[in-house]
Amino acid sequence: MRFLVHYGKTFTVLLLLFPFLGISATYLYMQYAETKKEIVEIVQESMLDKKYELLEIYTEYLSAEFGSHYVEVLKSSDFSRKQAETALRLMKDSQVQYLYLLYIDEKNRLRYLVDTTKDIDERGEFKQRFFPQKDIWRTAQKSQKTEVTAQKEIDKLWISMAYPIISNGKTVALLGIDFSHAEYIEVNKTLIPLEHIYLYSAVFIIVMLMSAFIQLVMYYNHRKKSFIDPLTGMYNRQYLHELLQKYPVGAFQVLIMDLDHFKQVNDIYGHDAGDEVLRTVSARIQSVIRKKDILIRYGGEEFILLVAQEDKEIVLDLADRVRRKIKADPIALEECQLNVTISMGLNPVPGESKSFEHAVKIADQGLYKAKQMGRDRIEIYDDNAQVEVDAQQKMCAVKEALDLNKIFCVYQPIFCTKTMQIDKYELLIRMYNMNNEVIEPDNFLPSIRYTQVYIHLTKRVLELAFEALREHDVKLSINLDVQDLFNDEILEHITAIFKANNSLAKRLTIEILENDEILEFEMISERLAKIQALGIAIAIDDFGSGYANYRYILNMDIDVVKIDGSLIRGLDKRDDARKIVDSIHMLAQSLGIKTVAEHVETEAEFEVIKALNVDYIQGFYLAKPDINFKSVNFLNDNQKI
Amino acid sequence: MKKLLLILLTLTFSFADDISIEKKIYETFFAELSPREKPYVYVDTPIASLELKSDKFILTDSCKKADIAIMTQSDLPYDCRKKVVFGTRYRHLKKKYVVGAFFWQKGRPNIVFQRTKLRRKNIELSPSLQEYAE
Repeated sequence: MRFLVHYGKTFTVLLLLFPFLGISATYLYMQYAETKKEIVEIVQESMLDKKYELLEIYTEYLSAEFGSHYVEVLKSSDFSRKQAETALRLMKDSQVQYLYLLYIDEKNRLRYLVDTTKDIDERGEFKQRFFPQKDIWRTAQKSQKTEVTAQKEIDKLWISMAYPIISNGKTVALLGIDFSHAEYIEVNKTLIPLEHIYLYSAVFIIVMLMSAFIQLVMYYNHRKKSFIDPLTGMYNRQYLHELLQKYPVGAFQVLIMDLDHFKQVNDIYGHDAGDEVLRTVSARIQSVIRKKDILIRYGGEEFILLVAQEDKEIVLDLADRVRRKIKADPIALEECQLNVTISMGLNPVPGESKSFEHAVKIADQGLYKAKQMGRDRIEIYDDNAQVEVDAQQKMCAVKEALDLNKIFCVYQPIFCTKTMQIDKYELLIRMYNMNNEVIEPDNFLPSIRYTQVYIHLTKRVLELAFEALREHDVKLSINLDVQDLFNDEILEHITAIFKANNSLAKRLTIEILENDEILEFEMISERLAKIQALGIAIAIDDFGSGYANYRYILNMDIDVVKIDGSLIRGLDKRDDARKIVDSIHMLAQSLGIKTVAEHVETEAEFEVIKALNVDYIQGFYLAKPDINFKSVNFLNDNQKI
Repeated sequence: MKKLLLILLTLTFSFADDISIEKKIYETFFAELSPREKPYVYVDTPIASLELKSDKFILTDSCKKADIAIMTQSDLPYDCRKKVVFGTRYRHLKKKYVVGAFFWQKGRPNIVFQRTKLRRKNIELSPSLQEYAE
């Protein structure tokens, strides 16, 4: 599986193709060699046939010239031998190295009768014994058939031919021809250019193939490296992307893991320590998972473990092994020993998701739950929960925006009703999408609300607020969901940022939004008190529309209430709404709480609010949100007042 | 012995170079032609195969000291002729004092011993070499 992802199908096909082509080239060359051998054999056969005919003619000549007992005649007469030699020499050409006539003596030994060889050292004398190396002579003698043999042991000879001369049914002599090796070389020479062309072509093809193969290996090795996170040595998101192009999302169970309090490690001990923690954690995870499981570093301190489809219990057991392994021993840093824990969310049924991102979103919900429930635990996505299809896309978009710094803020002024001077600004979050279009929070916040991404986003907003306060002498108001107060990570983040910056904290108001019904008022009260202790003011946002607005102002020390926009809209035409707003203001005033009227969009609404003496006023009628801190003097800028 | 010679003359041609083979053939003859375990051998002109190191014979520059003389030229000094003389051409056998010859002809090794001359030197060939005696 990993091989296919690393190298792809093309590589695998080429991997098989290259040896095949190499073998094919070799096979073709061998075929050529075989053909060459056959050609040589054909040439050899033709040559032998011609010589055979000549030898027949020669024996006929001997018989005609010297009678049927010509062997005996030749043995007894020097003159006859001279004649026979002259005649025999006529058959000699460039193909023939040695041509001679042998007789068989009474002891059945072969002896020279006639030899056409001129070289005195090579010429066999009459009666001199002939010592053959091959037994074709005896075979020819016995079989009375012409015998041929290749002379591989004798350098200057190619083949030898033994032609029996038969008289009265008995072999009385043998004609011998040794063909010159030069002839063989000559035959081969004619084929050499063709051989070379083929050989060089084959070598060229093989070299080119090898070169292409090496290039491919280098390319795919480089490609493989691009799949590895250099810090941890684990696979990265790019690998995941490749993997998911080849395998359906349902092929794995998705376990998303996030190190607990990792930001603090970076903040307190530095990024080198953070890197060391990540390396150690990666190694520990790798040491307990199985070979078939795939570990991916998904983000900063976030890992995804793709577990080959197994029973949920097996996967949970594996996840628990990972969790226990990570917390088993503290991680040794230069300065200290650090205890690290990890939270995990499991999506055991990713096949039900429409995409991998969707499957991760579901696992991330499990992770969020694990974080909410105290960390260092594994939570499983509830099978019955339904997640909107586009939610995961939005979550990915936010995640990407966070990674690429595409989250930014705009500031809407909040005016003091009495002076019509800007008292503070409400920080409102915005995001650039892939096309660099500005996306408003209503389009992405609901989709990420119960995910780890939401927590990261909240932290980013807090950091942006901190920077704005530090760089500008303004008061700011930011929005937090009441659920955020249950999150230790966010609370710790607020504390970490503002504890040492009390002067900045005093210029910050946190507006609490109530999207879910809250029952743990005691805990909320306790946590709000901690925030207020830093100097931060607390406001209740959308007052008059939530689940338990009044319980907040009755049970908690609230600084500001922001009257819900639905009550402000059309206030000039709705007497009941005006009465409610008036009563809220009166109640707040009696409790020493300031009031803000938001969503003031018309002059008529503005006039009513002003008449009701609401402390602060905010809305498009007065000023729209802007990326800069607008210095608006409404009295001067708007001549209507 | 015959088998050994056959091996030397046939099969080993395929595996060993000519010089080594020739040396082994000479060593076999020397053992036949001299009663000494390590006979002294005189060569009128250097022969490559006899220049190779051997523990079967000792090369000498002196015919006087030699047990066996190898003749490569057309004749030998008088002193040498008294020794057991071995030729390197077939025509050398025409000399009275040449008892045998070993030579290459048409790419094939040839060995010839002449019985009458051997008898004069009181040399009896072993049965394995009788095949080559004339």
